[in-house]
Amino acid sequence: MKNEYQPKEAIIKKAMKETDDINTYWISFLNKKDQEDFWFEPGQFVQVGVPKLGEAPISISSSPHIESHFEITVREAGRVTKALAKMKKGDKVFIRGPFGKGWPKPQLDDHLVLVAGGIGLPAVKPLLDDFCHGYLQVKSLQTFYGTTHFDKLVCMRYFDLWRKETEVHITLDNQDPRWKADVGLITELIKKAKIYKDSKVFIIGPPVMYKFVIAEFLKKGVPEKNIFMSLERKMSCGVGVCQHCACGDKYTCKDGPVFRYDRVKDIPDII
Amino acid sequence: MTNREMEKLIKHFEDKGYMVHNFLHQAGKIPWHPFKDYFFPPKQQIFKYEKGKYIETLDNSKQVLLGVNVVDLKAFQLWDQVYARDPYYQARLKNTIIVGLSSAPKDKIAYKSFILSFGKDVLEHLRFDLFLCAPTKNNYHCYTGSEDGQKILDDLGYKDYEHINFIGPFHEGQLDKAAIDIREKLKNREVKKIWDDLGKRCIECGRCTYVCPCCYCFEITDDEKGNRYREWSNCFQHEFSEVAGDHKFIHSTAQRIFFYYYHKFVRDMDKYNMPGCVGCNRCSNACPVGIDINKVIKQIKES
Ligand SMILES: Cc1cc2nc3c(=O)[nH]c(=O)nc-3n(C[C@H](O)[C@H](O)[C@H](O)COP(=O)(O)OP(=O)(O)OC[C@H]3O[C@@H](n4cnc5c(N)ncnc54)[C@H](O)[C@@H]3O)c2cc1C
Ligand code: SF4
Ligand code: SF4
Ligand code: SF4
Ligand code: FES
Repeated sequence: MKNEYQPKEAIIKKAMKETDDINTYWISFLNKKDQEDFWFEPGQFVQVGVPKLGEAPISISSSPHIESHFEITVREAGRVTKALAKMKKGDKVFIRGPFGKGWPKPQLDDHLVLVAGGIGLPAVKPLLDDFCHGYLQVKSLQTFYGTTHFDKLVCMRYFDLWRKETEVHITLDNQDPRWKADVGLITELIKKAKIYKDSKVFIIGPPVMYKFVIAEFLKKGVPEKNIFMSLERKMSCGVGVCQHCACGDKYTCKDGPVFRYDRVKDIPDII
Repeated sequence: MTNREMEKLIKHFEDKGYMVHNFLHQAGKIPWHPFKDYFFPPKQQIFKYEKGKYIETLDNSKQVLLGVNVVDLKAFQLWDQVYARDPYYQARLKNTIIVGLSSAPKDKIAYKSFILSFGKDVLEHLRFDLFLCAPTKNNYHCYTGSEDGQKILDDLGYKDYEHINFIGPFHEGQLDKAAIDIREKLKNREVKKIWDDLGKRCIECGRCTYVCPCCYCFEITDDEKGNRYREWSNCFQHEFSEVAGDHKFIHSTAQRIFFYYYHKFVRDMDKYNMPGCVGCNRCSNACPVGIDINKVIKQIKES
């Protein structure tokens, strides 16, 4: 019987600073076979464990087509994530997963729109990476990314490539002399943009963002069934048993974290 | 089976290295304490990290539960499904002999509650190794329900038993009509008033979850020595839905008690085809403010 609670040993191959409290790690499993067998879909997450402290669910932020490692981007929030922040190349972590249902697989004739707020960007990054490297073919790809301050921007080293290959709108809530692009709320950017009515929209960000962003897309005529959102809940088991992530009749860890809007919109407090 | 033979049976278990938990004195009653601890202790080690390595710590000790009533046997059917692929639960299951017990003869076993009622063929729908019926002063009527059970009696040279073939967990139709009705009511309407009223009374003590034979949720915790545990949690705890930064997704007492009912009568029903409730009434008896599940269910049904 496969033990879903048994983590696999993995090594941090590279640690990079994104902001004062956000870091990116390249991680590969110690056992070669574990690494070869590790297949996931964009939007899925892993449980990252640090002995003596616990685990934290974190989205995988790299393309599944990279075979040598996978990537996560982590914000310091509590015990496990603070411990991760101190870790360097060569340190060991323990991984369970991948878990959950990721983004639906984009189709050739999709107009795809990605919307990310704050630390949500890494969860859609696999799609941007795949698009820029030819693994993902869609009719069009638009990305909206917003965060509070210049110093909170993540994945900056990719901006030039993304801007070159696709339509990317990045906005800051607060002005900054170092910032030459948009300033203002992400909803303002969406309002101004031309959006295809039959777009598929993938949304991830802080809890306050969903309602407002979804309202903008509905106003643009995008049907509810084309809107997908990745939700955050407290998690413990990751496999649909412990109940912490339950929302109405759904388990965020197993039925989600990505949900189709029309299928869950009637669950009280879902967003 | 006479008392003398029962003593022999117990000795037989002990000689084989089983820890015997004896509940024979509880025949005909539902004890206040559920049996879930024996499969799922309140705090159970699931492994440890030693020198940075994973080390398994499965509990393979052997035990006998001697004298489990039919209502609690029914609850095991939920656990068997929830933890079907769980190595820790399965290790306990493999090493546990379950002996059921009823003060009524086989065809007269009856139990009726707001959620399920047992018919005549109740034993055909329960999982056990042995089952004892109608203990008069000095006599148990003995049934076997598994190969393990048969082997034990054969080893003892005891022949006066009948074998019962398990024909699946569910009674056709009857159990689930009541449960389906409650599920649909809960799904289609939130019946806010019920929860608002209960929310004003409930003090979030969690007792109705500790005593419930169908409450199985947990939290994974680590200690500073590198041990990882699985601990009972309950949906009345404020940390239950709390994520880093103090954000909670369940905010009020009314939402918590709604979550309790929703889990049992919607999520469990959807996933396991049975509600997370066997109608034992322990929760009503345990509640310090007198919240009675019979009344709540009645209100839901009438809503
Ligand atoms: C599906 C999913 C994907 C996520 N992806 C990312 C990501 O890519 N990058 C990132 O920085 N953060 C992500 N988060 C949030 C991240 O999981 C939390 O910040 C992290 O769990 C905090 O753990 P901690 O031990 O540092 O905090 P503590 O507050 O000390 O946490 C205690 C325990 O509570 C639980 N917990 C606390 N916060 C959360 C939370 N927000 N979500 C779920 N469980 C929580 C954890 O089990 C943790 O062990 C994601 C959350 C979810 C649910
Ligand atoms: S009656 Fe109460 S304690 Fe008994 S199974 Fe149902 S919810 Fe649990
Ligand atoms: S009802 Fe509450 S305490 Fe019981 S198993 Fe469900 S979540 Fe846990
Ligand atoms: S036992 Fe009663 S008061 Fe305590 S949590 Fe349950 S319903 Fe609330
Ligand atoms: S994290 Fe345990 S049920 Fe979802």
